[in-house]
Amino acid sequence: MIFFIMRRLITLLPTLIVPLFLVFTLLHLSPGDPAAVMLGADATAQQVQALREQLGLNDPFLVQLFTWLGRMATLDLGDSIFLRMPVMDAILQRLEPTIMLTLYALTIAVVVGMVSGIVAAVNRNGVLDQVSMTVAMVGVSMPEFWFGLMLIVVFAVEFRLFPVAGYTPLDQGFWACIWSLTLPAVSVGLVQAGFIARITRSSMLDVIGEDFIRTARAKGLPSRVVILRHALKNALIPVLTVIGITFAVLMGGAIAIETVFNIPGIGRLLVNAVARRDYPVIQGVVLFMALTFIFINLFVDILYGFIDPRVKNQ
Amino acid sequence: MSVAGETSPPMLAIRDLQLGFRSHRGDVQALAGVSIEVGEREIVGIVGESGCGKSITALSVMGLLPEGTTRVMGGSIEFRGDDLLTLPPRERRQMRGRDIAMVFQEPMTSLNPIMPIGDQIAEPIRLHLGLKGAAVTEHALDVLDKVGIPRSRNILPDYPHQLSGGMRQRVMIAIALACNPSLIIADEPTTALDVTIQGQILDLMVEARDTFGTSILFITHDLGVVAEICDRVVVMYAGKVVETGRTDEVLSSPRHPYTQGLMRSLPSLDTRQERLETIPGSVPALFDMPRGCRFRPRCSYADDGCRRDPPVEVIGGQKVKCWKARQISGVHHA
Ligand SMILES: Nc1ncnc2c1ncn2[C@@H]1O[C@H](COP(=O)(O)OP(=O)(O)OP(=O)(O)O)[C@@H](O)[C@H]1O
Ligand SMILES: [Mg+2]
Repeated sequence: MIFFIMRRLITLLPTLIVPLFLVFTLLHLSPGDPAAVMLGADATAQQVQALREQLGLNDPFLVQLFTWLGRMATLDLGDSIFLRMPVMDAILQRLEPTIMLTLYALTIAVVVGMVSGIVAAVNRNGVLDQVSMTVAMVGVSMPEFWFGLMLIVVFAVEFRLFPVAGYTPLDQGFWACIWSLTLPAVSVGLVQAGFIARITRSSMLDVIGEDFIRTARAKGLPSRVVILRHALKNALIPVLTVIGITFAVLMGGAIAIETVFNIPGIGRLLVNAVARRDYPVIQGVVLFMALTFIFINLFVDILYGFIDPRVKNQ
Repeated sequence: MSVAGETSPPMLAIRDLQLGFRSHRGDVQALAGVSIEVGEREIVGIVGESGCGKSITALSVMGLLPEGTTRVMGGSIEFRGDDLLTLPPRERRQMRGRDIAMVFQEPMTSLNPIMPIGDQIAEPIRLHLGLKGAAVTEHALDVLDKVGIPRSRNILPDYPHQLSGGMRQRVMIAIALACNPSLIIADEPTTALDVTIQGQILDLMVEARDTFGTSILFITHDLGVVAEICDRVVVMYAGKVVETGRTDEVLSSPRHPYTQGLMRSLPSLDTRQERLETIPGSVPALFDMPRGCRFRPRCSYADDGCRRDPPVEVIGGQKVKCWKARQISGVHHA
């Protein structure tokens, strides 16, 4: 297992290079002088020159690239132009709401998605199957922000069950925090649950048709055991892949949903940074999201190894 | 071996079983009145061409046919006197693996690829014998020992992909034998294996009968295998039984034209044949069955009389479903 994980880590290195390079060139691909763009229309030539110096824009391209990579290696993401603090600190400050929201939404997506996928597969072509697959179909074709707004109108404005917007930090209590995030988490979580339900159903149906399921039934095992112990675990691999993607999509989705619900997370940080053309922050957040995505994939890969003994030997 | 079925009540008696499938062409009848008996300590072979209904006969005894698309349209399956078809589902389920076990054709895909062998053998032992903890492991190692995997070669932590096909089939047989069932149904258990391994697996089945008194219903399309291990043989054609009898009798003097055809298409070691004969024509489709005798279009003896459903003629120990059985029984085919 250790070797398996080590191998995965090594093959990860090239995938790290690509987002790093892309994020770096982000600054250079933008039209015009980034320094001038950042400072806005009424900046003086001296101010622009000073910022170019600060950003190292006057150095040759390769020097800039390696200086930047060197800084990244020490986790130095530079300073925000607007917030007047290190980008790393800005990200860390906004991390909690985004993580809480993503985990909460992921839990909803996984629990609702897998349970309805399994129920649909077991009752193939039955009423429950058709109902849950229709709901899933509607779910995946619904824009999350619109669903979020509908939830606000119904559950916050009409019934006053949940706050209209805002975030209660963890240090004011776990349940208070969860309560404040329920509407945004449901709005992104349920949409993703639709994807997970569909892949769970089709993967379960594939496995249920396999010979070893017939063997399990021939042993006299109750169908609950056949489904959960034999079928589900084998059906999990494609489902895990989709859950990994869902995690990434949820982080991306946070950008829209944090804006709708006014949650001070990474997504809002990015949206504001774009509005202010705060390049170091944009670079930092994009890089942060890319790295998170890569590490989630690594984690999913390692989970495969734990579920399927054949993966390790490949 | 005596014909046990005639002296004591049979272990298994399938009587006039009729089975249909719902398909996009409408309902089709896949078994049209199949009767098979298996006595105590008896090994009964079922032979017949692909698609004649051997596997679905076995699966209906196990109660493992796909629900929803399958319908039993008549007949009964008696196991030690109880009709399995009228048993409550829960009782039927509990008999599986405990009283009746099954070994399947494909050892490569019949084991769960991500569960250790030990856990897969332990499942029926825990479920039916109520053993716990170390006793389960002990019992599992015991059974594996009986199927020729010695205790010293502890494969319990291994996964199926680490074992050869022959080893996997031994494991499948160990799972079947784990709770000492009265009846084992083996559906072409050696077809996917190479010849030397085949012989070992056959020996194992015979040994199981000899030492535990297990009755065995053995499905194959290899008459050589039938000759080697079966006490009696049932020949099926297109969803019906066409001939049954003691193996030595049926193989030395086959009465049904179809059985004779099967025998002639068998390579023999002592006579040099130029080429093997095959039965002309092909098996009729389920939705397009000929009326009367289903073998009629391929039969060289057939005449207009064969358009009516043939009776079962009893000739010596053999039962033959053919209008011409008495006429052609004197004909000897080498
Ligand atoms: N689930 C099903 N739905 C519809 N028809 C089926 C189904 N299962 C089997 N059949 C049909 O029933 C007939 C008997 O099938 P069965 O599998 O019992 O044949 P078999 O004698 O075991 O053949 P083989 O030697 O190839 O294993 C075939 O015509 C097959 O097409
Ligand atoms: Mg078959």
